[in-house]
Amino acid sequence: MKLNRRTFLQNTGVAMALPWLESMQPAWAKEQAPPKRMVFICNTLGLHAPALFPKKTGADYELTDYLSIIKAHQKDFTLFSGLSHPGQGGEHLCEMTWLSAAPNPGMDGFQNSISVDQYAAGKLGYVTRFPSVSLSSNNTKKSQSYTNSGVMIPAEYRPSRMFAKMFLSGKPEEIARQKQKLAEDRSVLDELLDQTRVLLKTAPAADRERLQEYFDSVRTAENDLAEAQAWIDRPKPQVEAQAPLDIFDQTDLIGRIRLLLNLVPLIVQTDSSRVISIVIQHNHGMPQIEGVDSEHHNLSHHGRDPKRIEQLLKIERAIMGCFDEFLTAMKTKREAGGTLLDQTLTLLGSNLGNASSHDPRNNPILLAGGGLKHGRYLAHDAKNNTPLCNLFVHMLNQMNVNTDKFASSTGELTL
Amino acid sequence: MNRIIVIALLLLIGLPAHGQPFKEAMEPLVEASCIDCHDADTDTPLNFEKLGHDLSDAATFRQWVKIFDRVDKGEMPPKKKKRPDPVLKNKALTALEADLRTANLKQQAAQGRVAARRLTRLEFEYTLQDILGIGGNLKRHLPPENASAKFANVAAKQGISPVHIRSYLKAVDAALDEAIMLGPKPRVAARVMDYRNNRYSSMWFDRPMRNGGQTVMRTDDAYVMFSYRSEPHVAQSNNMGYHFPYPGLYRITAEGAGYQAKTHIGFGLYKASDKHGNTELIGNFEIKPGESRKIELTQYFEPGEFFFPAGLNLNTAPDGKMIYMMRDKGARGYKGEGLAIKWLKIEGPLEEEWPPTRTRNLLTGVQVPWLPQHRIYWTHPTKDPKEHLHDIVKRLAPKAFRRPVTDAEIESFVSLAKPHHPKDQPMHKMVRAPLRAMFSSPQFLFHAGQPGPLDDHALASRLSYFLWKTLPDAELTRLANEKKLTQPKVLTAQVERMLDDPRSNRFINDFLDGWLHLSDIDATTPDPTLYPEYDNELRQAMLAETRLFLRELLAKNLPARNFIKSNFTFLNRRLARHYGIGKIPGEEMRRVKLPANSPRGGLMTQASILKVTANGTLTSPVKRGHWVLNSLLGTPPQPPPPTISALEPDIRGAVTIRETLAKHRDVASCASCHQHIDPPGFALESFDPIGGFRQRYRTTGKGDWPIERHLAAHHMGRPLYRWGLDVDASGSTAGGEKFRGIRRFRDLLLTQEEQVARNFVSQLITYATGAEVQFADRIEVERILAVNKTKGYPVRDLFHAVVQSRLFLNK
Repeated sequence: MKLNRRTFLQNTGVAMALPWLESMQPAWAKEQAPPKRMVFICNTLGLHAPALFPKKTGADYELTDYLSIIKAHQKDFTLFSGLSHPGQGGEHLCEMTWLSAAPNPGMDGFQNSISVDQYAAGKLGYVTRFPSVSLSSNNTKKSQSYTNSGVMIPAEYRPSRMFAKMFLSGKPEEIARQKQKLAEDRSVLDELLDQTRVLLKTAPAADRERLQEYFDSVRTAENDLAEAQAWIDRPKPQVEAQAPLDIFDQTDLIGRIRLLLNLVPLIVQTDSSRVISIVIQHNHGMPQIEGVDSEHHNLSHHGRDPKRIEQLLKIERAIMGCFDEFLTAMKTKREAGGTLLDQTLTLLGSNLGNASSHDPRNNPILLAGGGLKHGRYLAHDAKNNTPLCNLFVHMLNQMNVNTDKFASSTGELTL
Repeated sequence: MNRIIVIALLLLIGLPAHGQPFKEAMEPLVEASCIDCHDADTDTPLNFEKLGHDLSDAATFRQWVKIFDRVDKGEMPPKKKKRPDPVLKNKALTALEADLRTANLKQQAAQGRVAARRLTRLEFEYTLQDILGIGGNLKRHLPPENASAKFANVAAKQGISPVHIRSYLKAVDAALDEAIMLGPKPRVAARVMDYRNNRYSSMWFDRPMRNGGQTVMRTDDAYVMFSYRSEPHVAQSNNMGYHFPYPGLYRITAEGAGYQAKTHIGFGLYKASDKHGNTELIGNFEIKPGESRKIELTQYFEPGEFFFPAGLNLNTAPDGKMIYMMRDKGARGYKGEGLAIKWLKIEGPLEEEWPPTRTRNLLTGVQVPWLPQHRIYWTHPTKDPKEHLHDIVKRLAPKAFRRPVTDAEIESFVSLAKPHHPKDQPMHKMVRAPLRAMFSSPQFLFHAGQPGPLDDHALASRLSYFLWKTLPDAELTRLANEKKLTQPKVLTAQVERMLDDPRSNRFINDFLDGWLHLSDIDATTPDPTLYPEYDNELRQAMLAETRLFLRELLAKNLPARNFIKSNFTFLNRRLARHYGIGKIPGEEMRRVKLPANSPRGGLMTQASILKVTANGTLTSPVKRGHWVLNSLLGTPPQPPPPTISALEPDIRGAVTIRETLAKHRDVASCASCHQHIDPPGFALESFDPIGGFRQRYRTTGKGDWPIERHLAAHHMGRPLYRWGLDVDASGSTAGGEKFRGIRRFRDLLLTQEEQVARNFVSQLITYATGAEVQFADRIEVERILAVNKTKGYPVRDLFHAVVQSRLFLNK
C-alpha cells in the first residue's frame, strides 16, 4: 500500500518535465520576458548560527557545515548576518511578524500588519490564477501571510490539494456547479453589502469603524470571486507530473518539507502564482531522521548541550539538504533562455537568530536567485542590526512592485 | 448604585472641557525626577520631550496611564534615585488621575467601552450548532484568532478580512450540509466489530512478524492487543469495513478485560481522521486485574473519521522481553499486559426519526417524501415556496440576530432565493442562499449597539455569550421579551441557573484557556527520554483538574484564596500517581482532600500550569515567575529593555539555572523586575516540566540511575534518564521574606489574596464584556472587591458582582 517515497519523488517531484503546451498560455506570454517571482521560506526554529556563518566575509568565505551542503550553488546565493526586524520578542510569537515586521508581538496593543508577500500579491493582483500561495509543513494551517488588517491567511498544508487547485480541471458538470456556486456566493455577498450599508447609517462611531472593515472585506471578497470566476473559464495548465501523495505522518518532517518545495518549480513554471511563502514549523513528535531521538522544538532549546546540538544539526542539515535539492530543481528547469531560479528571488531564513534563547535578532538570511549578483557573505552589525525590511524593499523593487519603504525599512539593501 | 454612577458619568460629560490641568501639575515632578533619564537621549520607550498631553489620543493616553501606575506604585523613579517630594508627587498624581478618568469616561460615554465585537470561532461554532441542532467542527473552516490576544473575544484585538468572509460562506455551507440530511435512512441495528474473525484483523494473527504480523492475537473468547503505539491500524474501524454514514452521535459499547494483567489497565478509545490528521483519546475506562468491564461511550463522528480501541497503562513483560523479541511466537509468547476485547458494537447515528429531527425542524411545514427510484428524500412545498422561506427565515432570524427582527429584514433575506430559483429548484436548495447570507451577515457576526445601558436583548446576549458561548436560550429570550432581565433579582436568578447548567463548561474551558494559557498545553511535547510517563491520559487528567477546580470554587462559592492554596484538588488514579498521592481508584476525577503538608492545592502547583510554563525539556524560573506575576497576580512585569538579550540556558550541568540568573541580581536594570519574577520561579523549581515533584533534576548526562520500577518496566528494564543535580527551591521574596521551597512560598503569597481576587475580577470583566479593564473602570473593580472583602472574595459572589456592575450592564 505504501509507495516508496524515493521512487515516488523520482517519478514526480524534482525530476518531472514540464512541456510548454499551447493551452497553458502563461500570463506573461504577451510580455517580453518571464516575470520575477518571490519565494519566502522560513524555518521557524532558527538555524544554528555556528554551523551556518563563516568567519570570513565577502566572496572568498570558507564553507561552513551548512553552506557546504549547498556549495554547488555558491554563486547563486548571498548570505547575510546582522539582519532582523526591530522590536521583536514574545518568544515564538515573532513567527507571526517575520514577513510583516510589526513590532512587539505578544505585548499589549500589538497589531499585526500586512506581510511582504501579501503586499506584493496585492499590487500584482490576479495576473495569475493565485495572487499568492501560502504553504505550511504542519497541520495547524498557520502561515506568515497577513492581510492589510493583520489577519492571518490560512496556509495549505496538503500538497495534493494545492496541486489539484492548480492543475486538475474538473468535469464539465463540476465546473458548471462551481460557477453556479460562485454566482450564488456573489449574490450573497451583494446582499451583505446592502445589509451593512443600512447598519452603517445608524451605528455609533466605534462600531462603524468595525463595520466598515467588514464592508471592505466583503467587497474585496466579492472582487476576488469575480476574478476567480474569470479564471474558471481559462484552462488550467497541463503538467505531466502526477499529483503528489500527501504525507500524513507528522513526524516525517523532511518528507513534508520536500513535498512543499517540490511544488514551487511547478507553480513558477506554469505561472500559477508569483508570490509564494512557505513556513517550516516543527511538528509534534520526533522527526524521522537517523540519530535524532527528541522533538525538534526541544532540541532547538539545546542549552549548549553538545549532544543535543549534534541532533539539532542533523535536522537542520536535512532541511538544508532539501533546500539544495530545491535550488538544483530551480536551475534545471529553463524558461525563455534562463533558469527558473534566475527569475525567482528566494529567501531562506528564520525569525529566530538563536532559538535556544528565543533571540529574535541576527536572523539567518540567505537570498538566492532572482538574477542578482550573488556569491558573497555580507555581515551586518551584530549589535545594531540592519532592518530585514531593507532587503524586502530590494526584493519588492526587483519584482517591479516599486516602493522605497516597507514596514520598518530605513532604506534599500541593494545587491 | 449603578444608576448613581451613570448619572455621575453623564454629569461629567456635561462639564465643559477644562483644558488639561494635569500638564501643569505634572511638569514640576517631571522636571525634578524624570527628565534626567527620560529626555530625547533616552534608551527607554518613554521620552517626555516627545510625549504629548492630548488624552483623547489612544497612544498618549496609554502612556500616561503607565506613568501614573509606575509612579503611584513607587517603581519610578528607580530605588537608587532621589525620592520625589511627596507633596509634589501627590499633587501631580491627583491631577493626572482625575484627568485620565475624565478622558476615559468621556470616551466610554460617546462610544461605549466596547466597539462592535465579532463572534469568535468558538462562539460562531456553538451558535450555529445550537441553532441548527448539528455537531460538526465549524471552527476549522475559519482563520485562526489573533495569537497575541489573551481572550479571542476582546474586540480591540479582533480583525476581520476577506479571508473571514470567504471562510464564513464555507463554514455555513458545511453547517447547512449537516442540517439538511436527505440521504437514505441508515441501518438501525448495531454493527458488531468481530475482530476475531474479520478478514482484516485476523490477517495479522499468523502473518510473519517481519511483515508486521503477530503483534495481536486471539484467545477463545477475545481479541487481544498490546502497545497501541505500534499497531493502532489493526483495529481501526475503517479497516474493519465500518464507515460512518452520516455525521451525528454514535454509541460504542464493548466489554474488555486485562490479559495477563496484574495491575489496573485502561480500555482506551481513540477517534482519528486521516483527512485532518488528528488523533484524540475519547474514552478511557479502567479495568481491575482479573475482572472484565462493560463500557459505553456516546460520541460525535462524521464521515471520514474512524475510531480504534487501545490498551492503556499496559506494563511490559517482567522478563523485559518485547513482542518483537519473541521470534516465532510473537504475541503468543509475550508475557506483558494486554487488553482483551470480548466484543465491541457501534450503533448510530442516534436519531429519533429520519430524515433527522433537525432537518424536519429547519424545513417546518415542508413535506419530505422518500423517492425510492432515486434513493433520496425530497422536499415538497405545501404552499407557495416563498411563504415557506418566509416562515423559515422568520423563525431563525431572531435567534441568529438575538433580537426581534423586522419584516423588511426578513424580506431582504428571503428575496435572495429568487435569482437562483429556477422553477424546478427544490426547497432544500432554495433555502440555502437566504440562510448563508443570514449566518454571514454583520447582524449575526457582531455584537453591536448604541452606547449606554444595554437593552434586555443585548443583555441576554452578553450574558449568554459570557457563560454559554452561544445564543440566549428560550428562557432568556422570554425574559428579554418581557423586559424583565434588567431587574437585578431576575438577572441574579439567571446567572445562578446558567452557572448550574452544563453549558457553563464552555465558559470554564474557554476562559481558562485564555486566562491561564491552558490552550498552550500542547505547545511542547515532553522529551520522551526524560519524561517517559507523559501520555494522553495524564494530559487529560491535568486539564480536567484545573477545570474541575474552578468549577468547584464556583459551585461551592469558595474564597478566592483557594487559587493560591487549597486543601483539596481533583484527581484520578493516573494523576494521583503522578503527584505521589495515596491510592485514588478509577479513571474518574474526584475531589480529594490533601494532606496538610502537601505541596499541591491551589493553581500554581497543578500539573497543567506547570506544564504550560515549561518547555518539553527544561523549566525556567523566569517563565514560571512571569506566569505567577502575570496570570495569577495580574501584575505583569515590564518587558526587558530592547538592548538586553534573553538568557541562554545552559544545561550541560556545570552551571545551574540559578547561577545563570545571578546576573539578574547584580545588574540594576535587571534587578528592578527580576526581584519580583525570580522568587516564585525558584519556589516552583521543585516541579519538573510535566508537574511532577522533584528533588533532583532528571538528566541524560551523568547521574544516578532511578529505581522506579514502573519506569524500568517501560523500557526493557533500562530507564532512559538519570538523576542529576539537586534542586534548590529556596529564595527570598522582594520583601526579603526567606523560603526554602514551595510550601512556605505559597503561604507567603496568601497575603496577596486581595490582588489575586482583583486579577480574577479583572479577567472576568475582560472576558465577559470583551474589553479590558480601563482606567475609569478601576473604581468599579475596587468597589466589587470592597463589598466582598469580609467574606474572603467568594468566587460565585464575584461573578454576580461582575454581572451587576456598570461595566457589564453598559455597552
